[in-house]
Amino acid sequence: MGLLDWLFGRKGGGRRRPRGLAEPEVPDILDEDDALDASAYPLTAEFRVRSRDYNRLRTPWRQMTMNNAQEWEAAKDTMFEEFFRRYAFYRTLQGQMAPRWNNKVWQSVRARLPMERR
Amino acid sequence: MFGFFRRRDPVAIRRDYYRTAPLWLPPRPSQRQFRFAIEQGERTIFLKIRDRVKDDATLRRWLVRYAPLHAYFTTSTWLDPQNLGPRKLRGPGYRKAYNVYLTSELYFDIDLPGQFRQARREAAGVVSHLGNRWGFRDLGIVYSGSKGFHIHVRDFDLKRFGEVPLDPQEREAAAQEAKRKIVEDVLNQGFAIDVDTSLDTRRIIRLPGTIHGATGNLCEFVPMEHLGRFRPHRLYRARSAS
Repeated sequence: MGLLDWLFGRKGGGRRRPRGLAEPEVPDILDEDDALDASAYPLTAEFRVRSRDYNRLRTPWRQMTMNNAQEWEAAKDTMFEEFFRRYAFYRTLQGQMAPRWNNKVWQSVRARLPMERR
Repeated sequence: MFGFFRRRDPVAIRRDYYRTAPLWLPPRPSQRQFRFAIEQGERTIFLKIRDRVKDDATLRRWLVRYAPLHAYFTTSTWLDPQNLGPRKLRGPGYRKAYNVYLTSELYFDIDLPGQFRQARREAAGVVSHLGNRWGFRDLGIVYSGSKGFHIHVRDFDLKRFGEVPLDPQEREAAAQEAKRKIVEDVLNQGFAIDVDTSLDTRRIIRLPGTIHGATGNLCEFVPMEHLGRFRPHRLYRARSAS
């Protein structure tokens, strides 16, 4: 923080965001280990799965209601399956489809796929 | 007086390092775009280097100026790399020099979080397979500075796969198609590669010889014979590695 920022108290203490950069939406990220505890149910919210490595790889938001931990696990499996179906293939410029993951890679990717909630 | 107790600023460490560090440049560096990730307040922003990086001295000047968190280069070469734009052009044809694709090497990214030893084995396996099955000889293994390894296949040559199209867009597509065959084969062998890194012709990859700012580790070439006992070189301990 510079002297002027300190004197006049610019919010956040840092430099201004450059023009043209939009404030990103920051959803809650729910990790694999971050299971909802029982007191959270019943829960209705919108969820999606997004790749940690590639922001463009993500499912649409889905409204879901869970009444217990089993339903939460089932909902996660459904979302992971949807993610896999959408992005299992890489489309080349010539329109060919190349597999994006083999089983080993998919297991590694799946283990790190964050669920987001809003 | 209290300097002893103070943690040194990672930006200062990186800047000092780049003043004298041995630097590495990819083939035909002036036809590539270099991009830095720099910290701006609490954000990380990407910066295109608006300069033809033709030699070590030019690269060093930019590295010392920005002491970036991350430094990357494009895996393909371009007629006007500093202005490389989106693939879909507004306007007819590809009249704009910035979208004229020239050449590329082939790159692999092996990333197995939490399995460093396995990642080392995968890297050795991929290099061995590329040599035996595809006849590549000019290969480099690079420790990424974080969780895995990159493989640079410098003797990937589109001419081996047929006639090279004169049209830049067709050439870009043909290069991707040639890579697809190799990448599918490597994936089918069960190796843990990131297909997007290999197939995306507009991809950037971490520049060997630079510091991975989130870990404080050096991104560096690892000779095949040293891969089995390789340990990362850490310049500073990062607060939170990612």
